[in-house]
Amino acid sequence: MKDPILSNNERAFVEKAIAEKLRIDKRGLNEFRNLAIFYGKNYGSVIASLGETKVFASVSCEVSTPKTTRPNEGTIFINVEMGSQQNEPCIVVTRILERTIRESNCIDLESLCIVAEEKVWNLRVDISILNNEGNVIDCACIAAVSALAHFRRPDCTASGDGEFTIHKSAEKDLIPIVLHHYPICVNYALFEGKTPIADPTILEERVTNASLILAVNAYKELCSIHLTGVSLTSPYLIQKCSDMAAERAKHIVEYIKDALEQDRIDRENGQAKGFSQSIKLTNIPSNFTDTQEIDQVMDTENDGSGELEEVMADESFEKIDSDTVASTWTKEESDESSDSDVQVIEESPKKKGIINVMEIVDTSSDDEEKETIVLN
Amino acid sequence: MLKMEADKEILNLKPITAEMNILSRSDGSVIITQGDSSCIVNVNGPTEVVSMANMDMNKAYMEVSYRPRCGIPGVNERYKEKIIKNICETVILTALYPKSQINIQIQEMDDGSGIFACVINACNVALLNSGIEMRSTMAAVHCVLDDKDNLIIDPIDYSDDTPTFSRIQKAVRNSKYKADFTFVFESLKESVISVNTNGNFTIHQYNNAQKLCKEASKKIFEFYCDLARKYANVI
Amino acid sequence: MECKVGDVVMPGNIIQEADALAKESKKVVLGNGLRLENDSAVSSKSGLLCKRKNIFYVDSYQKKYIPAKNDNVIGIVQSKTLEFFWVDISYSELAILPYLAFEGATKKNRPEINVGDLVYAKVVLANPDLEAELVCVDSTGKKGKLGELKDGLMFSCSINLVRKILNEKCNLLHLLSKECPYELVAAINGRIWINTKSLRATILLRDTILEAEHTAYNQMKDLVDRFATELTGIKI
Repeated sequence: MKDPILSNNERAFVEKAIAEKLRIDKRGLNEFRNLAIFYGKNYGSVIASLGETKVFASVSCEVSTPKTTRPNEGTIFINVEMGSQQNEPCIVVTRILERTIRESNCIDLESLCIVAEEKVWNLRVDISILNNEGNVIDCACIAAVSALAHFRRPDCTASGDGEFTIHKSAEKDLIPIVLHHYPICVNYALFEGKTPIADPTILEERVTNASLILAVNAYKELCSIHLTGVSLTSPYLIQKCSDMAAERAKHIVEYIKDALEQDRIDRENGQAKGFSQSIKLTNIPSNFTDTQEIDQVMDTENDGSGELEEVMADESFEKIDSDTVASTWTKEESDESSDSDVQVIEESPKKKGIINVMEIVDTSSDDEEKETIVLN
Repeated sequence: MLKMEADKEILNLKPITAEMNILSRSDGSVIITQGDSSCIVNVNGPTEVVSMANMDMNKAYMEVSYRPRCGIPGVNERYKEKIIKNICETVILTALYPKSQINIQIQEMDDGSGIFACVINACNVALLNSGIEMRSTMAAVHCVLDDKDNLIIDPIDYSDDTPTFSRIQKAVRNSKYKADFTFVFESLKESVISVNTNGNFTIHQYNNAQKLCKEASKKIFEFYCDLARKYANVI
Repeated sequence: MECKVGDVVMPGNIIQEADALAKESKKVVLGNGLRLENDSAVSSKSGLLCKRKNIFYVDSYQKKYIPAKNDNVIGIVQSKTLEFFWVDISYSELAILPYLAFEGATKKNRPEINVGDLVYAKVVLANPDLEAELVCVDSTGKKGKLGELKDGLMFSCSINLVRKILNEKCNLLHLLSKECPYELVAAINGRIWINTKSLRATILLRDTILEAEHTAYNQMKDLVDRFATELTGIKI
């Protein structure tokens, strides 16, 4: 879906606010939104949410032939999907993630080799951006790394002569992917080339095109750096940002490890709840006040009905033909709308139901009797 | 043949949990988990028609995109999209939104048994959440026929450590059943609006499966009502 | 299925009460979420069934705006043509705002509004088959409160929130005005524009209004108290 154009008022407001070190969601300039990670029932599927930005990632594997240049290494493929017909931002995110995850050599690709020059494991990370409220790249990176860390592949034994067997999970335990380190992307939006803003919202991203994306791991090693947009930047600024990013990355890696550990314990106890646990928690730690979660569990375990015999035996089922129905309804529709129009005109004070309730009360009455309270 | 006396256990549905309005940038969205299956569905619309070829002067054009848990969407996903598009067109009053488009995006998250039923129920909740005018609600129930010719409603056959392959289809998983059915009912006359079956079965078994599912669908309609009621109290 | 006023209805439920009233040959108005089908009133949305006088409607959750005549909306000017502006009113199609629909505008004297500016306008034509048409004047040719919105901050929210804060039962805006002077336009297309003397107050005000969506009417006072304490800078 296409976003409407950014209004001049919003742009001016954000710029003025940033100049005064204020942000629209009351955060500090170097403050991040709340992060949450939920693991699914399958190995390697994760929902990560950063504020209201939500990303789903899932990892899968298959056996394929290796590249001739690297005969004893597996491969990793990253695919990013974002709503419909939004190709350009998807490709940008894919490239940055490839650079962060593949080029930083965080995955031990050699351990994915089954038979050199013949068969290797091919990993595939599918990332689906469910909701974009800004800073998709951070959220997607966290989702991808935690999905990789969570994933288990089946064990494989090669028997000398190029033959090999893939063991079922009942025969041999599934084995995790070897990750040397967890690279974490940290995105800073740059205002006027000198004010870095951590974890920008979509509005802030749209106001400034310039951003600095640093990938750092828990050992404070810089894995990749990505500068987009037009901005004057000083080496000092990049230095400063990378220091801040290193702190952030350390925290996130700890968070991911804690979540993994919790999931492992749950699984051992046979209590892996999958995504149903996210349902109660999704919105609670969020900075935004969209706590409109309704959670509700339907448990139908103890009511079965025994009177099934009475259910009619001559079930005639009909398939509604959508086309014919739609056309008949069109007719009714036009009748009805003309009807209601007449009513609206005749009885203008009544208007149409709820429209009345939502009629605009212009509050510039407040404006007229503006009290002269001095703001502190 | 199905024994009616044993129905007490048969009619148990997997626990359903749902949360509406979880995506801030969609007009209607829901995350739903039904036992070992879960998915996120978001609805946007009515919006501009993207391709002029799809413009319909009389009703809204429905676009459904189905993303599997992993791998590239293939023929299976196209097939599911087509079915969902058809059944959504029967329940939505598309004639109210001429020259526009309604988008439904589905992201499969845990593809356990009965994921298709779960997806259809999720579509219904997401549509309710979006405020798009509908003729009726719909509920889907999954049901299988096992080796001993017993009908089981909404089975759980999830093993904790199933590895995930990119391309190998789920054929293996379903093979332990003789047949599986997914019935979709609408709420007005409780009539079937879609049936999806796999495997071999007799007409008698089919009729029994339909009866069972119809009974079970009432629980899902109740669930929708409860959900709407809880939701109405919050706003 | 029996549906009473105050119950939650689902799409397809028949509203007997409305039918009964209609049978007594009284005039019944079907509002939002209700439609006439086979001579009986049927709901098409899920939500609370409400009734005022002889008007029935369903109070449902909605984010998407569908234009209706006489609605006041906030639009973003998307582009200009020779005769009119194309304005985004968060509907699937852009709306038309003619240059002449401003106070004192003539063919020569065009309104000074640029692409990206916000306008507060009234919908005069809403038909699913046509583009919506907006005006920035009332029937006497005066602009009244309509027109360009300068400075301030515009944000989007659900339509329910706008209805809620404009509801007579909701004293939020009144309470807020005692704490801090502000200007506010709440438009039914799910956009709210606010302006205060300071950026900080605007940010806090936006936050408070968004929070009101899930606050009961009788708890608005607490919400405003929290706003006041934050505004004065005493952090708790």
